[in-house]
Amino acid sequence: MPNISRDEVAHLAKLARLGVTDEELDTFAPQLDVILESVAKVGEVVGTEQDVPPTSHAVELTNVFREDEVRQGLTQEQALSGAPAAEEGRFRVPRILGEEQ
Amino acid sequence: MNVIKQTAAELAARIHSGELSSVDVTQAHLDRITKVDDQLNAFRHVDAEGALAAAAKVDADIAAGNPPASPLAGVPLGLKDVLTTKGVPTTCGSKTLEGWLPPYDATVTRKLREAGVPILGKTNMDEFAMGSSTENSAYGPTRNPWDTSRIPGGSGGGSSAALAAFEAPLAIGTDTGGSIRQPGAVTGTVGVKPTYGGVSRYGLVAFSSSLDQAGPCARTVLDAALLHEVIAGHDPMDSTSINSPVPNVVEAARQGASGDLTGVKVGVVTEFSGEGYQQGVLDSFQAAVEQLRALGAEVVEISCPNFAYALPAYYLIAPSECSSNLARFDAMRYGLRVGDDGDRSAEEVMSASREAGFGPEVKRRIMIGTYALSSGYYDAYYGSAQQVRTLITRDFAAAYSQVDVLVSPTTPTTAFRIGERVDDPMAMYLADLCTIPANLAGNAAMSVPSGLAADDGLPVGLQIMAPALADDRMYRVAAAYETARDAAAGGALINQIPEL
Repeated sequence: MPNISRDEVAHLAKLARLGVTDEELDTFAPQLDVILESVAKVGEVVGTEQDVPPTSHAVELTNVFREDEVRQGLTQEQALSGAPAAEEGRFRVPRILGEEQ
Repeated sequence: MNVIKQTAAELAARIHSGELSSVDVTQAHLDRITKVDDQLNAFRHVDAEGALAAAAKVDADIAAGNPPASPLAGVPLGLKDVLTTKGVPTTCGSKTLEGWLPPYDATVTRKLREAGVPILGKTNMDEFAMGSSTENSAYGPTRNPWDTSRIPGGSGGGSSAALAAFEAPLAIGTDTGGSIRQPGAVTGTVGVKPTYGGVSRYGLVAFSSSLDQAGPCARTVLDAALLHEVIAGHDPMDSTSINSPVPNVVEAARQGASGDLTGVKVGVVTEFSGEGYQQGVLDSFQAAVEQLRALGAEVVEISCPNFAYALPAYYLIAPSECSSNLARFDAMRYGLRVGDDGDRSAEEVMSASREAGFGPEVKRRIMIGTYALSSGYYDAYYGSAQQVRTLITRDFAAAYSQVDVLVSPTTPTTAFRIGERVDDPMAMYLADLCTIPANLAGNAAMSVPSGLAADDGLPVGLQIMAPALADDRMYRVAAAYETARDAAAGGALINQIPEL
């Protein structure tokens, strides 16, 4: 099924918010193609089995609740300690809206 | 007596009796790191000050006549750089986290500190634990102490190399598809992936959350068991942590060392042999099976037909979860940010930062995962992979209704050469062929040295697998095997390692 083109890699990279160079597109396209062709093998076995439920997790997961009590978390200073940029006790981020918005 | 060649159990006994100080033992390992790590690059960061302070506290406790904080109190350790350490660099082998100082300790880190285990430093790894050779570290590859032109396995190659080179008597790894066991096998050391949920993932930087599991690495089975008991147990901070008692792995290892396996049924997985397997590996495995039989175990062949689909299922599930998990590296709250010139948007800065911060394998996996989860492809890829996961779990259940443990070679080949597979992702992925099924099913599995391959003289590992929460079973078998193998070979395999 797969036949990954340079354009498709560029699209995937865009979806994943991942800048890629032209050189990387040339390398990744054939590599992703080989990988996806190989992993597509999973379709073979499932096609022959009836009604196999999916497993997303090895152990059964249930929601875990705790009492709604105030607990010591990170201080503001600790939370901001790794921030690339901070201002007035907040994370400073690049603009999130375009000019026209 | 050469302190660095002692086992953790021996060191603990001597420290607790007052014969040796933890400070001296810790310093001896720090000196060893200074002496040989330039050749290996096993450590990303050495925390001499923190390790010696922890050691001094253990010594003061013992001098005051207090009981040791744990059976391993005072014995130093190397910690894989994917577990957070408060105020101590944690890079996950990525440029994205260069210079990051975590504001909190992982639960594993906290347990080690409370147990009085001095943390020598952080060990090198494939970026975000994605790889089988440690060549994907942004900070250069780690080299195998058996032959420095070869890989030490991955992703936890720093931990396994540190053990084999006597830089640390104990280490912690994490195993998503074999990242503890495969490095253990190719360096002649012991590596254990506990049952999924047996060890808390809190503070373990997530790669594939449904598969990631931290575990002990050591040079002997007993040492691994002692470390297992220190780090395991239910943790309210991890909702996937299992709330049941930790299997009694130390007792099982001690019992196993007596060498009797009468009444134990061992299944040989028939799918894990044949094409793609190195002859020297198969021969070593065959000898190990004979050894188990000689110890009284009943050995039968078991077919697990769906294991053939484990590798493709894994390389869909793990990248899918990774593409989601690594979205947290958005250049906003922590980690690398580039291109923030006041003009570019948050989205542009995020793309530029991820381009600069991630290496090629991480990018490949994020894109594979993005593809597998995208509409139109979801059912054929991620959906089918999840169904394969069910079939593999059923294969295990059927096998364990007939036998107590399953065995196979840990890896199809011995350590390959650095650079040999780096441009061929599929060839690299094959290193995990035998280790992946246990991750998909959430079962326990470990690797124990089975000797040197006759064709290239490099270490081979025997994989022993057990059902979820029956970790003690594999420790018993591993300890019995180790005792018999070492007796027959005239000593532990690690003693045959060339001097660095």
